Amino acid sequence: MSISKETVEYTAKLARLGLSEEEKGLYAKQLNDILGYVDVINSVDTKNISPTASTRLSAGKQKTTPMRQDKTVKFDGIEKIIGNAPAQEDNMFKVPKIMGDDEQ
Amino acid sequence: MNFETVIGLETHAQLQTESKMFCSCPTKFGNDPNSNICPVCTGQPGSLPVINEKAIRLAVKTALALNCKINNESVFARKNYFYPDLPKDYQISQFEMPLAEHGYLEIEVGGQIRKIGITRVHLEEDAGKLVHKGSAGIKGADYSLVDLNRTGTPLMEIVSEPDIRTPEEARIFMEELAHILRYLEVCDAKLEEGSMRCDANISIRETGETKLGVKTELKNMNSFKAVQKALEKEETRQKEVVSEGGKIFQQTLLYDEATSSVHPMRSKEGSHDYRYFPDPDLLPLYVDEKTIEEVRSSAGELPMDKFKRFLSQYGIPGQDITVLIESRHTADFFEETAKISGEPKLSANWIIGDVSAYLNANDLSLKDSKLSAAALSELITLVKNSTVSGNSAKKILGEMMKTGKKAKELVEAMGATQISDEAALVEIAKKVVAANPQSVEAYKNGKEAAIKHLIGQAMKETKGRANPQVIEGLIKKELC
Ligand SMILES: [Zn+2]
Repeated sequence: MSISKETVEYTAKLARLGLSEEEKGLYAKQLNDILGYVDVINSVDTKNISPTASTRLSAGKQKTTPMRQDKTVKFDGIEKIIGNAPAQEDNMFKVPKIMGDDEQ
Repeated sequence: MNFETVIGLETHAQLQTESKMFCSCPTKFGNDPNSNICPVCTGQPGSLPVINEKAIRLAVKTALALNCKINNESVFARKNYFYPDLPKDYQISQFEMPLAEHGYLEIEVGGQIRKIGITRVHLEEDAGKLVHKGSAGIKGADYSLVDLNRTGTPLMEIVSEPDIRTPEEARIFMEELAHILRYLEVCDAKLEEGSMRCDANISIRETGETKLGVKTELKNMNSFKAVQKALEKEETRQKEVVSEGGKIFQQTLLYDEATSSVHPMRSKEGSHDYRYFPDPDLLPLYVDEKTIEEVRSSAGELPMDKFKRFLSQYGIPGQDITVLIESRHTADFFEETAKISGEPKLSANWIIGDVSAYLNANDLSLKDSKLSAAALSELITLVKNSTVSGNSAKKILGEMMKTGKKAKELVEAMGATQISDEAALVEIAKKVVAANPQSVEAYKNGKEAAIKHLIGQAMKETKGRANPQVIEGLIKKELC
């Protein structure tokens, strides 16, 4: 698999990242290196082995993801969470205009 | 050209849990903005989700009711997209390995049973709520405010196969699904309030064609009627376009209830590339056979089976049964009343009639009212053996439901005991006949109905306590 400059641009757009031309070239090369290594791993025959979701699962120590009872606990640091946001109003997070004027 | 319509429905249902899907915040709404949030549901770095076991059980219960196969192992995935109501920038959902698959729901359309396939049932989390400022909607707003109280509320998605053929069928499917969800006490299933939401995919094709046509997606239907209406509009539009040689384009349309019309929603290219991948924060979910069996036995009899049993066991009309099995509690209440009183028909009539009327008038549910099956049975028995008249019983019922007092107690306190003793009523009969010569005259001239007036007067005299049959007999005797 080869990562083209277009793929980098598309991925960056999805992730809302602005990249310079230089960065696009650099990341295309780095991503190709990473995926190249994945190709090496892929060459191992794993036809009869199911993917390892967790080493704890495969070691047989745990059967399933841990679960909790349906009990409520109020978090007591809410003001810190809200205070952490760049802007607030009426105890809500204030965010910039979502839809541009050219959109409909 | 003859067309066939193909419809598939995606339903989202908020599960009735106390706490959220992956954290312990309360799910109650209507609280102040951001009063039910924590590091997990606001996506703070380093926080980890932990699955709510009740949500899994509710989804398994629903999936079993929809005849699905439960996957012993299922996987939670991240659905990636950016929107201000989604603090983590991904929604935890299920993608490749959902909780349950391959089910069906039977619905009755025009007296025929239609079997609609259920593709999958999976779990995910809800997003937050946006308040737009400077404009009525998102369009033209100067900025927006984010309330994350709803973020992380457990949502169950139920996807149907494209087996639905008419907008009416789609509405009936939704109604039956809502009924099951309420009956199982999984979701209160109110489209109007958003606790249940429906997206509909619709396409048309030439009759006989087996390939699916290009579909459009309809959103924003806030009632069962709106589901049917929106689909009818879009069905008509597609038929017109194709008949005129045009083409259908894949798009999302919003239904506008006020004008009962559909409008294209803003579309952003590439916005549907969600890049799903297994959430590394959550291990695969393993639901073993023991759990499935536990849930199955707790779910009890399903509405469809209950309907058939009530029909043969109690011999009451189908439309009455539909009302009685609206909730499991009401169905159980009916069966208990029928058993204690030995009068299934009367029990059904009381519950559907005066009991429901009282509940509706006072915005109560049977569960929250003070009426017990034993108390209602007692009242039914008092009417049956003529201790109280039907009219008095109605008043007594209201009092019972308000105070939780017993029927006998109230009958005595209200002096509502029915008078069936002839000796006590004969004077009344004489008085009424003497005081109403016109009616007596009319009756004697062959106008049988005139006796109704005399009985009515006797009832008035006794404040409704006279046994109607007894007093009628006595008046007739006086008239001879
Ligand atoms: Zn939380």
